[in-house]
Amino acid sequence: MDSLFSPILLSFKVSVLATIITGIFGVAAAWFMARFRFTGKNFIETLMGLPLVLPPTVIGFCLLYLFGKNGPLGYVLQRFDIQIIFTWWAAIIAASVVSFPLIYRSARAGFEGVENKFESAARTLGASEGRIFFTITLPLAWPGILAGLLLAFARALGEFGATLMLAGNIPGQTQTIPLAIYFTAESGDMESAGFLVIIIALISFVITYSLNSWSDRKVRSKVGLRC
Amino acid sequence: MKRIFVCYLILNIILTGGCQITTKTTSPTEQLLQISASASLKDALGEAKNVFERENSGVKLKINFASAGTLKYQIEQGAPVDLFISAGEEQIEELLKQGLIDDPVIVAGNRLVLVVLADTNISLMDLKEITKSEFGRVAIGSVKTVPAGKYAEEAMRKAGIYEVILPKLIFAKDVRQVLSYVETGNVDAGFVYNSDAITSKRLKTYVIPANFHKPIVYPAAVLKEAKNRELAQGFLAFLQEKEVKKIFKTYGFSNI
Repeated sequence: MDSLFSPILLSFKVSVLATIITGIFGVAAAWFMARFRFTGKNFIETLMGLPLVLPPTVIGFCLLYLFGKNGPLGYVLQRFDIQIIFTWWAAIIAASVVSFPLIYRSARAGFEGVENKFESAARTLGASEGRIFFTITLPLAWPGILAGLLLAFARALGEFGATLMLAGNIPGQTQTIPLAIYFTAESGDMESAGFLVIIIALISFVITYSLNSWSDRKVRSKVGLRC
Repeated sequence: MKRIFVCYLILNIILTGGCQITTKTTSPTEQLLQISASASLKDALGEAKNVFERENSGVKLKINFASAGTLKYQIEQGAPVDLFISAGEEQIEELLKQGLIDDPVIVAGNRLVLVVLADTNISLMDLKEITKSEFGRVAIGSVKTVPAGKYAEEAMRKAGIYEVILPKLIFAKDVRQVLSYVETGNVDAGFVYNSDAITSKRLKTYVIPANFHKPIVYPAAVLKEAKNRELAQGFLAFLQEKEVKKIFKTYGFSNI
């Protein structure tokens, strides 16, 4: 079971880091898009939602082109002697890209649900924009953001196609749980594959269960206040 | 303010704690060899890797296992590969045409086999017997996408039975599916490689004569842009040594 421990640990590290990164970018983008109007907004919006509709392998193709030696980003990184492809950072990038739309949409819905009057009231009382964001906007949008983060984590955990393309399937270094399941099943090692399937199903179950029971509690507490 | 600082601190710790972006993850005396290899070679190559790393201290092999098509695409996009070991010749030929690799060397071979469930009383003397009406369906990998399927079709055509057996053929998306069809009794027989057949303990194997199809070979080539050219060539030579050929043999591969 020793060789099965590494995909589990790696998947966990990759998913957590990917969720943090995508969370920061997603929340920032969502707040920006919820607050401002500008030309080309719809275009940017569509671009940001693309990873949701594109097959992961296609996303992997695009990322590989971008970060490859001859691609725009890869060329720059090479100057600094930084290699992304075939490292676990490539796995994190792949997972972040595919889970971005999930946190973005959820957070955006959350921010749009925050009534302007609360923020305006805070402004009349002299609060700075930063304070308003962290003490009013963010807490009120938090349910949407948290739901998005959990969705993003689940998506990052299950990421396969783009990871395979960009990070490769290198046991011990970039082989996440989904890759391990696929390749152990392909070589006939059903016990290992089955074990990993149970692990990933367990994690997904726990996340979904806790999200559901938490949101149930929230609904109940809101109803309670009104009574 | 404090919350932002705490978040920043946590982020810093996570980012610097044991993550390395550059290839300089190994100590100055350690050498890293990046290999791209077809997934079917996972077990055999994994063992060869252990032997090589034992015999050459300070050398680490990073092997990326995927389908030959994916590996070829990664190489074309400039992925930092030193050595490419393919389960088929097309990808190697393509890369050779694009001037991305040195001349290839064949490091292993395989045999096409017909497998049946061991505990049935099916006994075959001749390939043509699978066309008999009492004999049930036969599974092969889909010809266009599965190399083993292509060789199976070639063998059946050579034996003159392809047109006859076509209605009984079940096309699977990969070798794994062919094997499970046979193991679950959904078909009476399946065409796979010898290296696939030995992964299952419940099957009886009939080796198809080698002259029924083009040789099944695994060519390997050093990349022209390999960072570690000498080491790659060293490993390539290592793969052709007798002890390594013996390792490959235990996994069902054959000599060329």
